[in-house]
Amino acid sequence: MNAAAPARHFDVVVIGSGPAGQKAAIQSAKAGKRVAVIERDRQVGGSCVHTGTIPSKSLREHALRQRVRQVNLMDEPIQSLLDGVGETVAAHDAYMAAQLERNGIELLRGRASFISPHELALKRIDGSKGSVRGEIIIIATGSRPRAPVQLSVDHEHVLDSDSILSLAYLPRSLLVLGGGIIASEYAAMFAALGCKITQADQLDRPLAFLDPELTTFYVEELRRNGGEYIPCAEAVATRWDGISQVRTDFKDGRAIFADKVLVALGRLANVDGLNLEAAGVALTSRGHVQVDDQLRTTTAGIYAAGDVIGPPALASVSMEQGRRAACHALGLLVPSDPVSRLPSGVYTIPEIATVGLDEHGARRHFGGAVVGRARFEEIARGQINGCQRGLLKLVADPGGRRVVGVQIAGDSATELVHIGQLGLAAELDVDAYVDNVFNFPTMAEAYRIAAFDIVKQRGRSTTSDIVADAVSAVL
Amino acid sequence: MQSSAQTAADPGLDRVLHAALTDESLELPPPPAVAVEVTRLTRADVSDGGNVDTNAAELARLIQRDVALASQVMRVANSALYARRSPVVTLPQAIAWLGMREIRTIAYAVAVQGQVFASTYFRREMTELWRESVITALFAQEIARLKRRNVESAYLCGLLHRVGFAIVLARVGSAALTHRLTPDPGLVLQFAAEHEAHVGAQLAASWRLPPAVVAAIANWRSPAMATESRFEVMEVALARQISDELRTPGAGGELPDSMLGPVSKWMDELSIYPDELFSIMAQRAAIYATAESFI
Repeated sequence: MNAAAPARHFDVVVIGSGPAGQKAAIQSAKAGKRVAVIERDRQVGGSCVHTGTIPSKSLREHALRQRVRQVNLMDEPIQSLLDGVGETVAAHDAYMAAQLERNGIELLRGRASFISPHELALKRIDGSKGSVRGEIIIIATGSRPRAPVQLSVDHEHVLDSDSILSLAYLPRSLLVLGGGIIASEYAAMFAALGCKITQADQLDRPLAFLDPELTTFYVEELRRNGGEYIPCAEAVATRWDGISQVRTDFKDGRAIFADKVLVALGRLANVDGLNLEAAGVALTSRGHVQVDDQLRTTTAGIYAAGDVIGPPALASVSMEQGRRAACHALGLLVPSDPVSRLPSGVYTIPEIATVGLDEHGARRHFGGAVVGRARFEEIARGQINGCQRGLLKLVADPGGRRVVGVQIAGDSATELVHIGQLGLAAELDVDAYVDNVFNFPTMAEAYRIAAFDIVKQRGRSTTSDIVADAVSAVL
Repeated sequence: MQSSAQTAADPGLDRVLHAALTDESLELPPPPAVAVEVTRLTRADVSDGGNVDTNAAELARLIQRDVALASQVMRVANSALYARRSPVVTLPQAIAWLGMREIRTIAYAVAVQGQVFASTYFRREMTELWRESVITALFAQEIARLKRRNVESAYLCGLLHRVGFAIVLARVGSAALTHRLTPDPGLVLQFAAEHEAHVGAQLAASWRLPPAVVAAIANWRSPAMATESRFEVMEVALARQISDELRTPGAGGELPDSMLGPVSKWMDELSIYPDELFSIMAQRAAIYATAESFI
């Protein structure tokens, strides 16, 4: 059964079928190339579909409904809160498999490892072996949760973001270790579901890559749901007491007890077993596949996209990276927008979303910024919906003309940000948000309010050609 | 109730087997020593100034080791008296829900049952059944841990997947004593195997066992038939195959032919590669040692 068949040849071989791999494969197939996708699991879609985005967002929907209904869900098995997610995942799985098939992409099941820069060995689950050659190889193997040894992740009492949704029931208390997107999303979600949440991280604030006003908003909302954020806290050990509580010890001597602990302290690139040395593909100091701005690795003909190349590790960004990696590899026209122009959505409760530069980034680039703010309590639709807590920040150049970024915290933020994204792409100035009429009442009104706020401040700033040139250079 | 062709040839045995399954008060035979130990631990909690935390932890471990007591705890936690809006699905949850006082009450009840079944006819077979269930439970939980599935649920499924067999065996033994008959153990085991699924299903329904356990009881021999909790059923089926395979001296070095065929299908569905299977099999010594300590 172990007899190896001759290597099969493809124009493009994609390793991994998550968001990046899938888009890379489809882009390549649409360009008329013969494409294969190698997937180690039975289902396609990667962790995004099976342990990450889709299941967690399904649970989040329950948390949102819970916020409205105020029902005690503590007796509810988590699987019942994930009702329909199995069907959603299966439907998504079937859809993606059909999409690959429709585009003539061959799906190969097994684990890939490089034999040379253009040849991969394939080990199947039944122990049989094969090999595949590709003129272009795109690495899109994703990432997995980092599990520091000292924190004893056992997937039973101390969990990671892959196993957290395997819980049978909602814990009464949950300690979330970490301050990143995954940690904050789960902290917000379980707090909204009624769990007593403690979030702790080494940094002085969670979601530290965001505008401080947004993270302050996040912490306040967490507190409103009965949770708390403990800053500057480094966990050094966890120990289950044998019946109901996990004790977590911190470097500063404090100990926190909780029913369960979620360790969400970053993710590691899935490069184990790929034998990247055989292909000459280098890693960064943090263990991600090293790529340049065209997503080329250190070996010609090998590209990488998605979580495997590091943050932001967002499905939307991964998809675009996958598409662009294929475009670069095949010499196709690549969108001129920088990937940094892509929006980021954090599915906390309420949501946070951002695109372009934040206030700090604008000041760093241009030596100043004019910021317009709209608070959701000022918006009629917010009053009607009960979404009165939220903030939209419109960031403009020092002259208050050109919009350079948008940050939003509050319900519908991940949808609202797309208006700003298109405005950035179209290079709209602040006045466009004032002059264009939006439906009333809508949350989009926040853009007008923020734009008016900038217009009011213009008197205190001046636009110069130098600044305008600087803005054009950055954007 | 239909008994098999072989047993029908013996009217006395047929009567015993029939009697074994017509008594509606089906109970599992618990090892009395465990129940006594539970009683000691829970008493120390309230009256002897015992260390509550230590006793609670020890109690949880003790209950998890015993199929009869674990079943009783689950049954009581889901009984009408204690029922919540949704069934209790794990032992730690049940223990936390019932509290030490109720656990002690259950332990007393189990201890009485233990005395009733102390002279049971099939002690050796029951011990082997228990060992097999524990080993399956321990391997199933390692499979679940590997696949980031619920570890507690996998353990419970493994522990209780042959609960129907245990009931039939115990009842036949009890009936044999009552009727002063000497049934052929081979025939009784065959009879128990034939009826374990529906007896187990009966018990699962009356005890309100979690759906995954119900599915494991009904389908562990043929996971492809499972329409619900398929993953958990395959965990149990694969755990049993690992357990059976490791009984062979020298096993575990490479993927044996016996684990291809139907098992490779389960490995395929569970996305478990040979090296991952070996990593689970490599825990054999620890798992067997743990299982022996349970007996």
